[in-house]
Amino acid sequence: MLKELIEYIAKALVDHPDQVKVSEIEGEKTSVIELNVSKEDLGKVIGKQGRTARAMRTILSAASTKVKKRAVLEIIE
Amino acid sequence: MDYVEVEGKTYEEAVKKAAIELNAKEEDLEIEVKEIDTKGILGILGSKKVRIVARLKEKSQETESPEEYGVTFLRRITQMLGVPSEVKAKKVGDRIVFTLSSKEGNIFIGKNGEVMDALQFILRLAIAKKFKHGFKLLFDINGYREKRKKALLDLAKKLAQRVKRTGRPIKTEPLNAYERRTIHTYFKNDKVIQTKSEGDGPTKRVVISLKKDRKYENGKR
Repeated sequence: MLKELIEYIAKALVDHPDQVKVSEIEGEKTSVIELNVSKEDLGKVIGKQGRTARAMRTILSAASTKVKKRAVLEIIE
Repeated sequence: MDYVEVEGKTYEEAVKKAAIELNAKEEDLEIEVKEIDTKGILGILGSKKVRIVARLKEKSQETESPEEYGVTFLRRITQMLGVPSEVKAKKVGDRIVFTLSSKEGNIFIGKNGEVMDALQFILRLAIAKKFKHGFKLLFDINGYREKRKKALLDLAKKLAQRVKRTGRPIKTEPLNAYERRTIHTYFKNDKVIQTKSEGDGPTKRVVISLKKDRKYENGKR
């Protein structure tokens, strides 16, 4: 669910939605959501001064309280 | 998504049938040919059959408005989180106002509205991306911004009273752009009080003080 959420948001922001790949590495208490985008789209998901990435992290942490699990977002090129 | 599978003697006939069944125009259909069955010798004689799957094309950019797209976008997010919500959009002046109502709305508001602001930020980006230019918009959940605005102005008025009494400027808590603007707008035509933003990024505050020129004039006379 968290994975799908990040995937949906990221695809709406980038030039190459087909190159958006999200994977979830589930830990016992914390999940790591890895967001992969094309090199040109890196700036789009990070944003000026990291504002977009920060907004996604804020939404992700709100969502993770809903599933009672901590989640962190990693952005990978 | 809605689709039909139909057969016709020719491709055109099949498309026509599909359009009638889906109650749509032929140009709004996406056609996938499943089977072309030519019986008889070299396909010239005997019966011919074309089987197609037709579905409605996703609404194109020309027909989908930013309001509709934004509502769909927010709805998808609430659905993904399994939070039953009602999302609406309306135009207020040159601004699109999106509203979400939900019993569990607090999850989308967050501390001091920070989740709501994050969603608004992402929503603005997604719409700008899709429609190739930005739109002024506002996202409110369960009337939170209205309530916050009232509380904010109550506080600002109280601070202004204190400034008038003491003559000394007062700084507010860190406020976001929208909140700062709310205060600036309120005092815009005030004869005694002036407001100004101070600081950087997330720590910007509003300074409420007495109008300088007024003080100067008074001092002169």
